[in-house]
Amino acid sequence: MSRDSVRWAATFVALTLAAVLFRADISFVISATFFAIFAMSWSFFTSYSGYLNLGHVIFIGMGGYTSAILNYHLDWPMPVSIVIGSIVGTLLGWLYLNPIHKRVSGLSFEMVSFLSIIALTNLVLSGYARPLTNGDLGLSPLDGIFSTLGFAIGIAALLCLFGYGYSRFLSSNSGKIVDFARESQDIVRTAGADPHRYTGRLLLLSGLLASTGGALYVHYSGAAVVSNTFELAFMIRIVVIAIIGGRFSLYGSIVGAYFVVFAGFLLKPVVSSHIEFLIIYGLGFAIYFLWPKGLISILEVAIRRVVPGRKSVQ
Amino acid sequence: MPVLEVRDVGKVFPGVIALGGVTLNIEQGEVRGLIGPNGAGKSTLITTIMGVHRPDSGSIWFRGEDISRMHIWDRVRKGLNATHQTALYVPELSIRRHIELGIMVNGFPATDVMLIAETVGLEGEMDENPDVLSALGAKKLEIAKALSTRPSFIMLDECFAGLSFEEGMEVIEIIRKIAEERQLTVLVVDHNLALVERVAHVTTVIDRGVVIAEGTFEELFSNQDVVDAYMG
Repeated sequence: MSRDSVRWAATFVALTLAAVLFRADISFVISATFFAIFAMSWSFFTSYSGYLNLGHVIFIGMGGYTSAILNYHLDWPMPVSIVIGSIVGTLLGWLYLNPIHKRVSGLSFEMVSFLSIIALTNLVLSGYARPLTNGDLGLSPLDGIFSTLGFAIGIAALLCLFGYGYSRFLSSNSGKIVDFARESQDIVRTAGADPHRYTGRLLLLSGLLASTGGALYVHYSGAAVVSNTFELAFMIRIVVIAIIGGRFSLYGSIVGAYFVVFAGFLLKPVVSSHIEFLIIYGLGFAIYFLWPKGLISILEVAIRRVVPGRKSVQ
Repeated sequence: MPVLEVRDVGKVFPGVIALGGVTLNIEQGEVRGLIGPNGAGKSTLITTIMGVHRPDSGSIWFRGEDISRMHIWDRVRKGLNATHQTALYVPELSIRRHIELGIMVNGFPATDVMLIAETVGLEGEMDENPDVLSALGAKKLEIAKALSTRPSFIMLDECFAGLSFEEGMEVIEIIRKIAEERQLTVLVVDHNLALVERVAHVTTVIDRGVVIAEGTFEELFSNQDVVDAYMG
């Protein structure tokens, strides 16, 4: 067994244990896993390609709305809607973002991807799309997924499967080429390859998980609305989670998601939602300021003390 | 037929005519020198041949094929490559990984890595990161990176810049070795006339974006245009 497979199997066991231990509050575990899915898929492209993608929710929204439209308007069975939604969402998001990332980089890519989600949010809410999206009412009710231990374990398995796949990609030849492309596209070009071909693959894989997560999430939420798909606040939450956890680590997204969701869980009964977000994002700021590599770096130091000689995790 | 034909290539940047119609033919197996004063257009010519810039006029032919509108990576796959004036590397990644990159991208056997390292003399530093390299080491890494794509034609931009005469002679030995062992055609671009003279069969002089002379060093420096270009 490879080191990656052992690590991701161990992660799956840990997440399953967390689900079993917190089964009385299983919705928080499921929520944390969904955010881990979104943050990890964002981090996979952004951290390893060097493109700060502020339009990642395009995948989530496309996957979510496609599945919701099929289920709500056409009465397609939920599992079929989710599968089709995941595929269509991935392709639409990729066909939109891939040419943009080929054309512009740096701040221009950030601005274009950021403006894209603002435009898409308004398109979804506009009269043009209302027959399909129901505007700000959203598509509801949808066939729902219930908060069960089985579902919590299922999406943990999805997260870990993709985590394993991502790790394998990063250690493959394509991943090694991406390592160079992130730092200098010219090095890759003069080695005889188009760097965008490789960063484009990263974007596609990143989009597949985000879109699948998006399709599942709207059914779990019972509704496809902009606030759980395309909205800027949703995008910001994903970025903050990835940063708090450690955006140069796939595991960091899981740590960040569980930290943020469970901090909310503990704070909710005692403070208002504004104070809750102030505390969580304030903590995020402090963590990022003091430990730019995020919570995972603190965890790694702790693990290294227990198991000396252990290498850092991807 | 020449392996590389640059046909009346022009390139204009805002306010500057970088290349004013350069024509250059290089034969297979030749080691050609390219010299010229600062701002003559030497580097623009190389970057235009490589595809970093598209020519505004004229065309570039490599092995009988018009490559003027090809992407850099396609030119590299056709057998063309160049080194950079300032070494281009990722400080966090080892020298080995830099040499492996071209081999991996082009699907060449992994055994090429050590062969190239031995050719340029980097075999003892393969697991170091490039920022430990001296100026000479950085030049060697640039040559090694270019060799990793198995080129048939290589352009060495400012390959003696920042080196002592002895270090320059070491680079000349590498150039001779790769030209002979790998049957490479080489274009050596530099300011250091003494070193270019030692390695080039024929040298082209470029000034203000046009070729003003071509020949051996003896022929060149009996040419008044060349003397004027260098002495002002």
